[in-house]
Amino acid sequence: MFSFLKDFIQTFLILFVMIDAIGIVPIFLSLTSDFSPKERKEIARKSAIVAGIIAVIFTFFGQFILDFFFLEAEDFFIAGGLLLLIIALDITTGGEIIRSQQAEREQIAVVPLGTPLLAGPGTITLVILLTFDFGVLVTALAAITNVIVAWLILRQSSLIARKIGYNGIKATSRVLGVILAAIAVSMIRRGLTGIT
Amino acid sequence: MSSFSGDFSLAFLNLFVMLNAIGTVPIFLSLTDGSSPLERREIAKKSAIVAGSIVLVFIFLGKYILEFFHIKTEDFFVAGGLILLILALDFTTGKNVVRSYTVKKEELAVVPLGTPLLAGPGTITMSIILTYDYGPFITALAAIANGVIAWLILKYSDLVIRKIGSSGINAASRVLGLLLAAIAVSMIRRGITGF
Repeated sequence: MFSFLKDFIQTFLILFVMIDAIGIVPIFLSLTSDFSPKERKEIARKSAIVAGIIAVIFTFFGQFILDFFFLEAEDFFIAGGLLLLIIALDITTGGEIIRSQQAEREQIAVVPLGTPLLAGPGTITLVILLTFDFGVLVTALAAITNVIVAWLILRQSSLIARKIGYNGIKATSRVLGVILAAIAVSMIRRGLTGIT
Repeated sequence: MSSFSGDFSLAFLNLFVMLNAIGTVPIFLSLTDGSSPLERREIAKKSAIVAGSIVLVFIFLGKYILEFFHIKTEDFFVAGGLILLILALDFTTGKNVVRSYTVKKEELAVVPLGTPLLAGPGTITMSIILTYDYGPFITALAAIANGVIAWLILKYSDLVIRKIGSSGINAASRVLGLLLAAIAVSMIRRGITGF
């Protein structure tokens, strides 16, 4: 029971860093800047549901998809690690990632908020990798909990934004990026050395 | 080179190159354009304190953060080296990083001056790596000394700019960037050979 809890907390935190719901807050706010508070809450809920569905699908069928394409787990570690690394380097060295799409008023909940912002390629990769380490059940639980947390964060985003400020949000996601880059390299290393 | 003063000067210089306080001077001056000399000094002091505190937190807690995420030292060397390398290449090629900040006047000292300009991802990485090499005590001392130096440089920034000029600052920043790029590559090498 204790190790289950430890695994869950670890999985949850790794996913939390990847999903970076806090980092999405400024984009969420700018996308919904002319929305009413009620509309904003609706968008937050919808985008969390979309992200959750994507994450859970890949938690359960990610392994099957790998088998179908004759991929070794190691291949996915290296490819996934590279993917995470690029995103992390972008966050830490100041680039704006794929975060500047234009969209219809209602549809922003699916694209870009649900995916690729909340459940992007990085999150999808990470979910598959985490199932190797922690199993499907723990990963699915952690993913669902994360989506709920992301929903709550986006829901309360106006409040958060007022508390730590736009610059505080930017600074936090950069610090998170350093850790993310190291996680990415550890995945590449494990893929290369064959110790997954 | 395992003497205290040797270790200290190495840690100090590594951090000094990464903090790039001299390179921050032109940005500092343009950001505080219109502030009174008194206000400017206040901002200089506050941003140095913020940068120093961030670095100290990572010197003492960095190891545990990495352990928690099962990140090996080698992984962090490679990742950190890559981050430093990108920033260093930006320094040397004269590209302006992290400078498009919309800032509120009162928060100027924290963001962007305290972080990410002085204590950005690169400085955080460097301080964690230095802690592995020299231990938390020496690294912390070097960080504090660097915080004081950064404070003095920013405090007397108008003097600095009059003495070496903005082109001099540009040149210094590029030379330091080159050094930093080499340090970054050595980190990546050490990480990979440790895999």
